[in-house]
Amino acid sequence: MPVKPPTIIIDYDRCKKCLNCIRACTAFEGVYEKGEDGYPKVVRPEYCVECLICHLVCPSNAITHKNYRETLVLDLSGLPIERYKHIV
Amino acid sequence: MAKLTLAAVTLTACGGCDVQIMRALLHPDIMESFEIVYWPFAVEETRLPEKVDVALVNGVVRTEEDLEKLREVRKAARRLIVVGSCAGFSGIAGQADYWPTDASLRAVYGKPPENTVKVLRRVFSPADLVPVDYIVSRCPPLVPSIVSALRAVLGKTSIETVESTVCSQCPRRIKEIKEIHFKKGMPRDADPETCFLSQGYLCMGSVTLVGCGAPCTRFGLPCFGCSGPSHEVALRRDSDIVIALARKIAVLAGLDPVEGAETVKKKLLETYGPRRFYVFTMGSEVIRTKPNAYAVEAAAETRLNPELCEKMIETRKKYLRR
Repeated sequence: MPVKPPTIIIDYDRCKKCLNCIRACTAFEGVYEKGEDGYPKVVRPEYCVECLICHLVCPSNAITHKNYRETLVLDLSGLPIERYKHIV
Repeated sequence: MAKLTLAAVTLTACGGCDVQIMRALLHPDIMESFEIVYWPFAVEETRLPEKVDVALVNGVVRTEEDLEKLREVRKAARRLIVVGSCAGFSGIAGQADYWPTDASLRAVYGKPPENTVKVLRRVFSPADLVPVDYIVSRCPPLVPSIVSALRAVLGKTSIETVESTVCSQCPRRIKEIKEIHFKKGMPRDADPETCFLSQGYLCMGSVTLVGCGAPCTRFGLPCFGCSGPSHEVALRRDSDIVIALARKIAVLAGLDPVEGAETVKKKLLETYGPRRFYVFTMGSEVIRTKPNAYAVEAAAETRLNPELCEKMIETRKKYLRR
């Protein structure tokens, strides 16, 4: 486990209030909770197990984790990654 | 300041991108700073110069001529911008891969003609074959995007690349899915304020790059994915368009994101068939090199059942006779 809990940022400009993150969160207590305005809120970031399933189920890529362990499975051919830096 | 030279090269394409390029070049500041040296649609010059500053390429590589042209333009150009869904992710023209080449030729000419252009065995998108500087995706590519790419080449402004999906700009409200049931066809009776996925229609918005402003979903059409796959789909080796979409639908329905996604994926493939998910990305190397590539499965459909080809040829003959 990392020493510092990750900082979880939800981009509310992108968020669609589908609450997929609340449904899919694998932490026991659940990191997210529905706020009064209908948007999900990060309530217990210290329980986050960094499975990053919330990234995969979010339809608008609104969630970002900072200082998490980096275990993204990337395509090693490198070509698509290089290309994706420059899409307009 | 001396004008930069600009060449626009069209490979196998419909011509829509050329119209958009023309509209982009009509901007006063762009018009002042670029000089068109080669563009078959607009300029009389028939040979590509040996050195150009900027080259705009659109269309897919379908024939050997296209391949040579692409190599030539990459060699000549200092900056290469590919314009349109075809050039970035093989686009609609990538659908040519669905039919074997000889079946397509037979459908059009009766029998494969002699002394014709040499058609390659499959379709390639230019971005898969040569290194490119910018991709202006979407079908048709948006004029502001082309302009911003050209301005970035000039060094006037920085460029904003996209990272979110179409959902982030779509005004429709996402609701929980009560029952997993998919409807075929266009959503004529759909509620205009609710997300298509919540109503059981297929919409590719959640796996497609944004930047368009979601005009299709605003006017009652589901997203077909013209902008190319989102970062999650493209960068993760274990992900694919169908898998990513199924995962999102499964969680919306309250199922498990892994096991539930499998069921949803099966249902999706049963209802729509694998080809429906790769309308704009069938020939793209980004999608094809995935371990579980349903795009390859979709393309193999006609190779495994030759009757499908015969059926297509018959239908086409009937259509031509009319």
